[in-house]
Amino acid sequence: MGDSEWKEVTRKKHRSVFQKLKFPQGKTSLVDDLAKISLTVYVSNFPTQLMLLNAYGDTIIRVPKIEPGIGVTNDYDSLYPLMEALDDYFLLDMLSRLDVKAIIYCKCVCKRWRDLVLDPHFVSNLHLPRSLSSPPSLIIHGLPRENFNGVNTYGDRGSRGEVSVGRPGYLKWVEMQQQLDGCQLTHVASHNLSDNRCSFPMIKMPH
Amino acid sequence: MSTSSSSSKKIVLKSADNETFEIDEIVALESQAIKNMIEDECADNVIPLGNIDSKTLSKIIEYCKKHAESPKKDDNADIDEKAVEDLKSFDAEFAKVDMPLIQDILMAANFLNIDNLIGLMCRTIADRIKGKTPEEIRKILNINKNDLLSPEQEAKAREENSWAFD
Repeated sequence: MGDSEWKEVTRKKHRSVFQKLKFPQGKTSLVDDLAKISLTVYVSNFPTQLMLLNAYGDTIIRVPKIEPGIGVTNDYDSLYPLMEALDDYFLLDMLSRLDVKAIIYCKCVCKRWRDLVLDPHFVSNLHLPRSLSSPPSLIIHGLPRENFNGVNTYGDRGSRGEVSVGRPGYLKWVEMQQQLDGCQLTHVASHNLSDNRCSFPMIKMPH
Repeated sequence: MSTSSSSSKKIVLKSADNETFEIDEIVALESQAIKNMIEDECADNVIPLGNIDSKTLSKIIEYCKKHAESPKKDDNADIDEKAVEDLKSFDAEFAKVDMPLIQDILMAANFLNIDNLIGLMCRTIADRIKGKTPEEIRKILNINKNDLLSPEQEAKAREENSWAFD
């Protein structure tokens, strides 16, 4: 093949697979992008069932085969368990819309949900910012039972000791230090963003 | 809206069970995935959706139609409040379906990349489990029985936040 047979191509090739693999806007995590790729591939007549594993062999994405008319039946046991096929992204979205008490209940629902809501990323980056519109609240999962006295917060610069937050929704975590009179344990803290200061309504624990 | 429907471009969607739905292009554009396909000239006359059944697809088209007809929030700041209320009540009515269908719609909305619909479905699930006990949530969502916490783990989870279980 001589050089003269090569032609420079300036026009983009129509219907190329790379055009189809366009990333959607608005999602940030790698898993979401992966999901979009695999789902986009899925539309172009790849296998009707798809499972994607990460390096450790955990399933990160599973697209079950949907039988025609599956939505018509009311026999729930014949369906795949609800929510199981859903990506964590939706579960996190759904869970982050709940109040603290509902999330504590969700923690007991199953292992997958427990692990999702225990994740500090969920607590500080998903749930806390979203809960600002309703009564703002921070989930605190279990604390050591000894030596609490007052509350230290870590703001965005990692400074400690001050009960204040750098910016709304930027509270990283809360540390309980010493014993408070009559207050065994604080499980829920909320912060008042109007004056940029935290206030922690203490919830008394029954003995 | 309907004045131009006879002349506007049509898109045909085909469900997993081979039912076809002819819709206006503007309705199909509610789906970011289809919009990308059309913009990239990847879309044929018929777009096959091999993982969405006809029941789910007709619901989704119903949603897209309504939302395509409604004026967009970012188009106009002082938008008709009545239109906003109207859309809200449509969404509320739309979400009154059983859980398996909600999940099917959610997965299809993800596939078609319709952000508003994903949000609506997630909100609907959240609303249905709000104020429910763990046992009730498991039942509502038919949680996989192989994934339940052991009695010790559940006791620990309850004890960590025992205030919530009073």
